[in-house]
Amino acid sequence: MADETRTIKTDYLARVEGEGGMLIRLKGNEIEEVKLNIFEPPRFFEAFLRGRYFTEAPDITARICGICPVAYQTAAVNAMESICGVKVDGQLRALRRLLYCGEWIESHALHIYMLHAPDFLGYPSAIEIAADAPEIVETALRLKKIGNHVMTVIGGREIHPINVKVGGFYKAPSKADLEAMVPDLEWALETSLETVKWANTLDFPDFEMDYEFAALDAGGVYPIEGGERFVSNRGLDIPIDEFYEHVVEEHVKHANALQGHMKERDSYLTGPLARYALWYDLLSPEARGAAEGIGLPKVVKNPFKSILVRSVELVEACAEALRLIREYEQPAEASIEVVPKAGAACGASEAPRGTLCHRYELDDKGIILDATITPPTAQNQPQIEADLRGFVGQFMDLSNEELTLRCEQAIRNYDPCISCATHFLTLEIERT
Amino acid sequence: MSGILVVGTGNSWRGDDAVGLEVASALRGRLPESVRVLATEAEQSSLLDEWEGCDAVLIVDSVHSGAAPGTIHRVDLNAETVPHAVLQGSTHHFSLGDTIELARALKRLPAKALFLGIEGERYAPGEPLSPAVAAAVPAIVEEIAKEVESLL
Repeated sequence: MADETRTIKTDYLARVEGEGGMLIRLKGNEIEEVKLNIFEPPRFFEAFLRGRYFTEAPDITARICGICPVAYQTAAVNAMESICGVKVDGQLRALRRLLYCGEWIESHALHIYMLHAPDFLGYPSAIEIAADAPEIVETALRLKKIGNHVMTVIGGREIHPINVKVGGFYKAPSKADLEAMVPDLEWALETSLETVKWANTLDFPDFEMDYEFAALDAGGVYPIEGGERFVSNRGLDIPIDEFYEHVVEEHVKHANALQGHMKERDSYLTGPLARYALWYDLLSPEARGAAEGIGLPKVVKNPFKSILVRSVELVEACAEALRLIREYEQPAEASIEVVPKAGAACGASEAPRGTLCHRYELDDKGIILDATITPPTAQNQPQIEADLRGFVGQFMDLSNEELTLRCEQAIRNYDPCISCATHFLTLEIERT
Repeated sequence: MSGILVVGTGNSWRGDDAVGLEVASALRGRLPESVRVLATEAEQSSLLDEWEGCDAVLIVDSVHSGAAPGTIHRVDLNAETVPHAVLQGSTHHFSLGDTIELARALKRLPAKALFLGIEGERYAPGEPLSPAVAAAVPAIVEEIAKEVESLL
């Protein structure tokens, strides 16, 4: 056993969007290699954006991902508005936040119940859960539908919402349009509170990591649709415009993707665990109450418990959507005029799976000269590898089969979105 | 039969993965007004909501099974499952194959449910349809038009 080499490998990693794979090579009790292969389309969209007019960026980038189009278009409009010296505030900002809540509801419900739950319940997928416990899947589908509906009412179309523009919206919904969603959202809030309790009945491996948590600072509200600063629990506190001065992207040999690292630091984590740890005090009373109700600490370091934190954020999105609708007054103008300026800036938003940063450079006619997009999964990839290394080191005695399943689950803890990727995920564990 | 939905799905940026969307687009104006045609790049499980209450759904997507590019695969979903080899390469988070099987488990497949897959050849970002796949589009449009006519 001591000199046995084990390879833990899967050729197809299910329930992660896109493609990729995992290889872990063990020699005796030594971890020789941990590789997460995620194939992102190399920089295709950034190249495509160059030469386009600045107002096209939200529509083009929304198409990068079928799961989080709002995250992409919101980061794009935030960057463009920053370059052009425009600030979208008041009810237009509230509408963006409400639209974004719809995306959080849709994406978190999908991940909690249909992508992550099978790991905890011992099913290959949600299809087998549907056969034994259809109510679980029906709950997920209804929550998702409500999230999609919020996106349709405000965004115009739930996938690639077309109503979002630099400066605001093409058309602002009426108060009545929004109030019509209240009964569904009240059901979603009640259901999300139940979701937190249900998720707390799952079994979690005894495993913790010492993370650097990073998320946007939205200036006194839980970060969702934007934030002026990017901060961490280890002293990072920078204007978002300095993102690329602190986060370097490296092309790694084993993955056709760029991975994000903090300069002179190690890997870091972005996403629900980070937002929750950094901004717990800014959660709504409903979300904080749900966390307290299950005894969830203010900082969660067990990545498998991300399903609990994601559930708390589902509560947050529902409660916040209801609050925004209550306080909504239809603005007189659906957008403010934005005149292009030469310059460069970053814009970011908190996608369901973590901070998404865009940087654009424009000429004085508003033509995009350069574009850089750093999705949350690119930032989390080194941290996922670190988790795998830590987990395998602690649970080496598990059989290959069990270890493979747990490692897949460890990857899904991050709800990785290998957006707009094509096919085929491979995963392998080698032992010799 | 009322309540007929034709869904073309795929990823418009990924070469032959766009063929379902192309077919949906080519069908516009070809079918009676009562038939709804949807081109969608959505996360696939949302299709359950799209065909809710429909009597018939026809789903078009690209597939990757090793057959010759442009080959049309036809599967009656109420009589058989989609062969795993045909849909294993779905680009989508909760794949189309998963969605169809989920609908079956939840008894949410319409009474008539037909899958038409077009074998793709290349999926690189930004690529247009390959010639063999583009050439298959008119044939599948005709097949769907006939199928819809037989349902009305």
